[in-house]
Order: sequence, then structure tokens, then C-alpha cells
Amino acid sequence: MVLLAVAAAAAATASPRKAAAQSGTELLTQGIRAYQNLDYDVAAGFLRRSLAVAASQALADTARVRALSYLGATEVFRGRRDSAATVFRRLVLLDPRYRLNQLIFPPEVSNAYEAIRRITKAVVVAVPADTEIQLGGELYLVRLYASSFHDIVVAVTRDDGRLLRQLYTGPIGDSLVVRWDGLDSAGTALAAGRFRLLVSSLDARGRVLRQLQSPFETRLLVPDTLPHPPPPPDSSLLPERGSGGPALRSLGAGLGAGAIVAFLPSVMASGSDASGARFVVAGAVSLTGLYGFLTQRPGRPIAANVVANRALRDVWERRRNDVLQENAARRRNVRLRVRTGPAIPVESENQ
Amino acid sequence: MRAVASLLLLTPAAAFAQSGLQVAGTSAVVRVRSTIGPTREVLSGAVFGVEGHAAVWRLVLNVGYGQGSVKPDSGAPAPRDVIEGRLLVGIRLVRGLSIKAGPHIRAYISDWGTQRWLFWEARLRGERTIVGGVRGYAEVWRVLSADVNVLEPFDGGQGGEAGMLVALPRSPFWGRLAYGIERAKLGGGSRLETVEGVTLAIGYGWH
Repeated sequence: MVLLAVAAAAAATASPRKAAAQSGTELLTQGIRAYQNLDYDVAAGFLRRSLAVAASQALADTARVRALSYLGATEVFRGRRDSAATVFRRLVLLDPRYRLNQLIFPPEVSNAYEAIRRITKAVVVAVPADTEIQLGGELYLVRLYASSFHDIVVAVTRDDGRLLRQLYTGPIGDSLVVRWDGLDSAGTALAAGRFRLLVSSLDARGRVLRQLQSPFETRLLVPDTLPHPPPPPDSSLLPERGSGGPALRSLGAGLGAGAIVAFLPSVMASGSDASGARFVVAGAVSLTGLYGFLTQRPGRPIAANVVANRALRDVWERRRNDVLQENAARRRNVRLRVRTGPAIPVESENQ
Repeated sequence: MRAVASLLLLTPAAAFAQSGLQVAGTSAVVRVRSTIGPTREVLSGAVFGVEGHAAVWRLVLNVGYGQGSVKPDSGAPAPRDVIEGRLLVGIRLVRGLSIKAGPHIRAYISDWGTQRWLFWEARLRGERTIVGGVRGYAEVWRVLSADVNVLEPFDGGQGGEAGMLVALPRSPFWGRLAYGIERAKLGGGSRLETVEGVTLAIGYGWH
């Protein structure tokens, strides 16, 4: 067995170009096959190389988790407990929620992994990549998954690290949902800018063991408001107080007609002894003109015009109130768009 | 009169509105004064009648008929029956101003015979609103020629009428109160015939 492993390693070393040409997935497959053939030394070689492949041939996260699982188990069976612990710790940090499949791995391996998982304090953050929340109405949900029970601090900071708001301080068991309303500690919405969601895992004495930061950008989506309707122009309003013109015209017409009646005999039949009855008619006509003057006197309110203008202003007032209400509703509907980037661990190896 | 009233009742209001047709019953207190040389006669009484007015586009038509009697205020003249009629056709020059012309007849019937006066007149009429539905108006006329069966030759005549028209709000009924006077000069001024009166009319028809 040892000879075979040495031969495989020698073959790999002898043809480095060929090995480099192999993708991480191929190496992983070969490593698993060797593990299943109980050829742990060869398996360890293939698995480590699969994890070392960089760039486009690198393993995806799910494959990387699988490679670490088999590598950890291989190291257990190889009797290298320290190496196994290191591999399992990498596995926990990569995916704190991960559990070994007990149908594949024996209890000896599972127990070794669980022991490492219990002492490794790590958190993974799950947030929507691109979402919108209504300020004052909806909440931004930050889902946290922990490897094991420990205390964490969740905060929102500026891109330069200045604290804007602490969202949560306390323990986390298996998972936790932290809700954020999009505001900073002063109650101000985070306007357009770059920020970070910082999750710190603490040890029992409150020291920061590990930090994970999730950068995000925000943009305030303020809906347009409607313009206020212009008040009715003066040209559309009727005069509410009478001018002197109609009153004087009435008075002139009445007195004129009365005068004509009174002087008609003098003009048409001079010298005649005209009856005084004409003065009754002249008086009636003149009084009518006087009545017209008084009812239309200058400055007198014109009730019909006042009513018409009031109706016009009421219509404008109603439309203005409708616009005010609509704008208030729109202002309440300010939305915050949050676009999140991939979470980046900030290593602080204090454990 | 009865025929006219029947016609009025049977004529739909819409026809009045569309044609500018107006009819009215009139009552007038008249005073007739004749001065013949040194002799002076004054008679007064009432005349009742009907009148009609029609307007189509700018054309206007006035007709009127009245009859009554006058009695002497004092002195010797005999009472007379008065019959009067006129037919005037004209045009509306501008709003509120029109000219008309036509015959105007008047007859005095007494025990001494019938005195007939036929005037051909030209009239100028102006109207102006005083307030609301009340309009003042004045109408003056001049006699262009006349045919009179009296001894003195006709020299000339003129007259005038002024007053007000009152239209009831949202109603086809209206009223008229007017004072009128006219004078005819005959025989080089040796004879003057003057008729004046106050007229009250109640009419039907949209203005």
C-alpha cells in the first residue's frame, strides 16, 4: 500500500504538467475513489491537490466542502489528528452549517468533526443579493447560521469602518434572523452609499474571534411627487363687488327716461297745457332707475359672483388637498434598495 | 276682441318665442285738446285696445287698435267716441334702436258726424335697460303727410311717447307704462289738435 502511494506520488511529481492540467473536479473524483479504496495516502494527495487548484479549474464551494470532508476523514484514518482538526476547522469556517453525512463517514470521523465544530465559532450570513424595503414599513432580513452556540455582534458600518448602527448583540444557537429597518442609530435612512454588515463572533470573554463583513450599497428610491395645482387665475374669477358702471347706467337710463317723459310736452307740443299725469310716469321711471342704482351701487357684494368664485376656489382647494394627500402617501413610500456583495471573512485568529 | 283672445289662447308659447311675437291689451287715459282760434275744447276719457308686435330678423311690425270715448271736461263740446289704429313697419338699426313708418288713423264719432284723421308717420324708437328686466324707452315721430276731413288745411304734426317696459322674471308676461303726446297743426296754426295720454298695457310674449 505504501509502495503504491509512493509510486502514485512519484508519478504525479514526475509529470507535473499533466497534473496541473487536471481540474480540481477530476482530482477530487480521484481522491474520493482512492479513499473508497482505502488508499488514504493517495487519497490525501489527490484531495489536497484538488483544493490547491486555482483560477478557473478551482473547485466550487460545494465541491470544496466535499473535498475537505473526505480529506478530514482521510487524515483521521491516517492517524493524523492534528491535520484532521485543521481540515475540519477549514470546513467549519467554509460552511458553519455543514454536517458530515453519517451514511458515508463512520462515527469516528463524525465525532472528530463535531468536536472541532463545537469549538470553532463561525457564522455565515445569508442576505438577499438585491432587494428593496419600504422605509418605516418593511425590514431587511439578515439570516445568520452559526457553527455552534456563541455570542455575536451584528453591526452596520460605513465603508471606512465607522459604526453606524449596532443591530444585535447576544447569543446565537443554530441560526438567527436579525431585522434592520434601513436606518442608522440617529434614525436617518442610509442614503446612497457603500456600507458593510459586520458580524463578529465572540469568545466567552467577549473577545472578537472572527469577523465576517458583507459589503452592500444602498440607494434611496424616492417617488416623484405631484405638482400642486395652480390657484385659479384672477382672470377666471368674477368681480365680487359691483363697479360703478352698471349702477350709473341704471340711474342714467331711469332719470333720462323720466326726464323725457316730463319734458315731452314742452318739446312736442309747446304751449299746451299738458296734464300732470306725466309726472306719475316720469316718477315711476326715475324711481326704477334709482332702484337700479341702489341695488347695483359700487362696492356692493355681487352674491352670484361670490358663489361662483367660491365654487371655483372650492374645486381648486379639493384638488390641492387630493394632491397633498397623494404626495404624503408617496413620501411615506420611500424605498431603500440594498445590493449586497459576497461576504468576506476578516480574519482575527484569537481562538 | 274675442277672436283675438281665442287666437292668443290657441297660439303655442313657443311660436311667440320663435317669431318674437308679442300681444298686449292696453288701456289709456286720454285727453284731447282742440284749439280753434279763440275756442278751446278739452275732452278726456279712456280708450281700450290691443296691440301687437312682431320681429323677424331686423324687421319689426307694430299694429294697434283701440276704441273708447271722451267727454268734455267743461263747456259745450259733445262727447265723442274715439277709434284709433296704426300699422307701422320698420327695421332695427342696432340693438335698442329702430325706425318705423306707416299709417296712423284716428276717428272721432259724435252726433255731429265723424272726423277722420289719417297720418303717415315716421318714427324713431330707442330702448335701454334700466335694471334687470326693466327697460326705458322713448319714441318720437313726425307726420309726413295727412288726410283730414276738417276745414283747415293740415300743416304738420309730431308726437312722442316715453315710459318703461317691465318684463317679469322667467315669465312671458310683461307690462308697459307710458306717457305720450302728439300735436297736429292746421290752418297756419289757427287750429291745434293735441292728444295726450297715459297708457298701461299688459302683454304676453318674450322680449
